[in-house]
Amino acid sequence: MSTLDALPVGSAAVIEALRAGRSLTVRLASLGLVPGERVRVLVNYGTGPVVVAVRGGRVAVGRGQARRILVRPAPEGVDVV
Amino acid sequence: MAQHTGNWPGKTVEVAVGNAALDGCRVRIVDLPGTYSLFAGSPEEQVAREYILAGEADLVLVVLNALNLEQELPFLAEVLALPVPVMVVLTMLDMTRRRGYTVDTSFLEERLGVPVAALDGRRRGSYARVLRRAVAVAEEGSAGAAPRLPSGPLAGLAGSAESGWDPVAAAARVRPWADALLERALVPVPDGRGGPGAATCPVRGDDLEPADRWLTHPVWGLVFLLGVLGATFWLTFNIGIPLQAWMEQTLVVPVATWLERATADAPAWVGALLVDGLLAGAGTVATFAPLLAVFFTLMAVLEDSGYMARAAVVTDRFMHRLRLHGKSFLPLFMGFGCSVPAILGARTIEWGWGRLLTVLLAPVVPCAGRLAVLTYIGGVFFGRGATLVVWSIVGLALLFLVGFGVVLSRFSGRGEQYELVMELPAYRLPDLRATWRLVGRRVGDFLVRAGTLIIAASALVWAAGYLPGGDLETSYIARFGRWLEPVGLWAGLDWRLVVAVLTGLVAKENSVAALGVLYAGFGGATLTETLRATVSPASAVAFMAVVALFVPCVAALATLWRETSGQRLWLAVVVAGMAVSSWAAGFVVYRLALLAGL
Repeated sequence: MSTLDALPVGSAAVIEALRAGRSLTVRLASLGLVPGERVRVLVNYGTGPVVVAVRGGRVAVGRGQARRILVRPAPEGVDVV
Repeated sequence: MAQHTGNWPGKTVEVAVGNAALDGCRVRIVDLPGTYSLFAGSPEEQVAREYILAGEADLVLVVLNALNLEQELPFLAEVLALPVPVMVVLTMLDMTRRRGYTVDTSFLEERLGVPVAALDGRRRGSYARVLRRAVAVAEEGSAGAAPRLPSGPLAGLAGSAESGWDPVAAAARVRPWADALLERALVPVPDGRGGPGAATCPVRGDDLEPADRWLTHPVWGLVFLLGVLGATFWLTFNIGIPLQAWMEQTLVVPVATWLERATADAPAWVGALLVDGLLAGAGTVATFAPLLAVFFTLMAVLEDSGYMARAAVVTDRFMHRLRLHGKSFLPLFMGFGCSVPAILGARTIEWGWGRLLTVLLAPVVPCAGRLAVLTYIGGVFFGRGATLVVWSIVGLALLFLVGFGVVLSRFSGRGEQYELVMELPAYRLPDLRATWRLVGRRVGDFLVRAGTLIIAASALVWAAGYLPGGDLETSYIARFGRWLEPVGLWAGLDWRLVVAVLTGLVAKENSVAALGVLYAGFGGATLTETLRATVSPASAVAFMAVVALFVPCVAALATLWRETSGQRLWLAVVVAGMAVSSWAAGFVVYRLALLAGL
């Protein structure tokens, strides 16, 4: 178990849980960031927002929020669900 | 129809109603606020949801970006879950072709069970074709005949939209439908080429754009952003200011001459009111429009190209210091053009403290009107050093902006989360027609909102400077200025400069015109010569600081008033804060300038 902000670029993971308030949860969900969804890290410079590929799109998530997204690392090609 | 329909920070944010005539049939189009979901709590999403549920529309058009179908179909699922007739409009189809895959509208139509039309904003007649199809669909009711999600996953939820709508539960109920819809509609083709009849999505379309490795980089991204902003300013002032001067010469001067001649037989005050009162105000507005048009065109191109989302990523870290996030950057930057669209631009930010704070801070950014005064005064007093002085004053104003942000955030907005969550759209060539429409609307906003106010207010200021005796030196405004002079003198401002600051309330760029009136009658010398002879450089730089930070103009105040309903106490705090801090800054700058021997 890890948090989204800790994942290196190129790594893939499955979202386990979101720790966010109601309106933020909805916003994350509407862009595809929901528990069970698979993401791949595209940008992570260790500072500033993290950009992930999710459901065929790119979503930038502020670092503070990325720290509150729990993920399970899941290398690509491995069936995790 | 004159509507902007972008997909990211410029996503439609106002409910706009337009009427179109089509083959003798009148169509009313209601442009709902752009949202990513119908279940969230922001006012935009509520408005969209309530309007759709009211069932007033004959047909709901869901505009989807073909590049992003995988992300946008869940939204369609939400709309399909409601008992309303729906038609899908696909945009950006040309871009999918360029990326080597296709989206087959007839296949989608069959799989989604609703009519699907393609819209290419760059092609003439495309809007009319989509509209014609929509009218046909609405008339024959074929959208309603589509096989729907049985009984609707939201049955029971829809009725209690206001009282007990739990967005998380609603989203959870729709999700399986959305997934089913995705599976039915999207057929990934590994080699990226879809055969006929297949709607395909890019298997790796979610990859990083090559340029984004650099454009989102903490250092290089920032360097690039500064370059972009610098170029925007350079172009605005190097195209806009000559345009402004040209407008002044070809429009305002001849009209003034004509008016003077036409009113030669009338009482003196009639000509003075028309020329110095009304024309001065109207002329300022008119000559200012091209400058703003250039700035807003550049901004719209940046927005439309998709770059501004990258700018939001790069600036996110800094904005957090103000308890804002990257999305606030664009509206604040627009403040350099005009506070009115900047304040309105904050509507793209999620409802809450973050939006309120952006609204409150936008007028602190020195607008083009204030920059024009700073540039003029800087040029008069500091020659070659003018650029440095002007940028120092701008820097000072931005420091105050940070100060306001930090102080305001200390007292409110605790416990709220300010996090950037935004889509990074694909880059694309700006759609010139859409850009033009957007610029037209923003400049129009300025002309209408500011224009009416500026002209009325400049007539008022003119009257205050003309009555009771037709002489400025003994006028009401001069009396008021003299009354304030003791306070002004702390910051090195005599009553004329105080009056010039106050007339900036009408429109910031008016301050220069006011100086022209106030310093007239010094034996035929030009304003530049008179100013150099009668105002010390220390007073001049203090005047610049006060102008940069003083209360925004009436047009901006009116917009602020509208955008802060329910939170006007904060507005009062900020306006009072700007009034006080402008004088404080003037005082400190004046004393420092005296110490420095200016």
